[in-house]
Amino acid sequence: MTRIAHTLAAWGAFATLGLFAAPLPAAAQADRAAPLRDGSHDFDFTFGTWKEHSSRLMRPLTGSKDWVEWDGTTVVHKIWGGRANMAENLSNRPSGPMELIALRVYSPISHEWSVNFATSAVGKLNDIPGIGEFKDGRIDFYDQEPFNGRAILVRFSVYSTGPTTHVSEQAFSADGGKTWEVNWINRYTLVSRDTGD
Amino acid sequence: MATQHLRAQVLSALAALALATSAAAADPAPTQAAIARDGAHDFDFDFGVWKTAITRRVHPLSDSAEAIHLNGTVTVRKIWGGKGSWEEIEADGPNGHWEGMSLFLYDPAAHQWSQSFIGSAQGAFGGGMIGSFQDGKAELFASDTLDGRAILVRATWSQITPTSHTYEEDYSGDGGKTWKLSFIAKLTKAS
Repeated sequence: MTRIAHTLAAWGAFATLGLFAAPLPAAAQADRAAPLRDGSHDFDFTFGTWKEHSSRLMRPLTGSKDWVEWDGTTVVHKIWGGRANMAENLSNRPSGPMELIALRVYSPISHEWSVNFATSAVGKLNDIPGIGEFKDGRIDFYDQEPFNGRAILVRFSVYSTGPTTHVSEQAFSADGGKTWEVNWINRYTLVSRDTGD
Repeated sequence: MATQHLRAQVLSALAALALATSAAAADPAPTQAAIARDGAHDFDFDFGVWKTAITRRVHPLSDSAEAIHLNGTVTVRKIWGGKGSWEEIEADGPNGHWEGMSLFLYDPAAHQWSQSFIGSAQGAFGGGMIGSFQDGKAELFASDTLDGRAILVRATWSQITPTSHTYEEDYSGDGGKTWKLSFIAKLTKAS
């Protein structure tokens, strides 16, 4: 259902049913203590050009403490007035440059954000999105992925640490979410709100 | 995806091997040469701002002429200095305003492009279209379902000039033997 024509058809149906105005059927909303909040501007604080310092644990879930550090630049582009955004990253790793994008998209149906990643080296969007929502200024995206032949849980978080700083980090859990090992921390400092768009 | 990717890499390696072998025979097969070419700049023509005039057939696998028309703007920007691109579409039609975006990425191992599309009303990705350029035309493919039946989808960029091109989607219900137009957009460069 990703094709443009299909999506257009679905859009036509939604418009007819008025689902734009009422994101969830009444029955679904009744299960919840409070109506779902509009989170479509939760990522606005990230728009702009950022300097970045990254630390990465090279062999996660092995007990290793072998962290590698590097600097990089990230530009977060606004899409659809903020309901989606794309972080475009260049990392100057000791092993060579890495180019990465993180595409974050808000679903007005589920009120959740999803994140998908791609690198220029692979040149294809990963097909397992992380899903999450903001609580108290922090979003935790979760998904399950194969890692070293086993299924693990992956958590990717983004949170503000001040008016001109924020952090993203990745953590893995091999025990169904009981314990998490953080394996990648990116600390961003604002250069400019300009994104060149 | 890992399997598909691996298969593509194996195919790519086989193609390279075949090239090496046939080079010795001084008669490389043209299709193998096409697989191995660097297509990283094939979508460069698309960078910029375009006016789009869209026609979507409402029942694409039938002979029905029922269609809706939309007019809008497509803005295509570079990623990583041009190794990929992202495209925002906004258009207006009989059902109101519609927004979408696509990500175009080049897989240097498979020598193939992928397009991942997402509509703002859904806010979630499905699968992607994958393919390559040949003879000045891009064709990307995917399998999908329509009204509960398996179909193939083909996206084509053609009639490419510096100031215009055509994008269309066709569906096949017979494994690619015949194709029916589903969606066509005529794009012209905005001033």
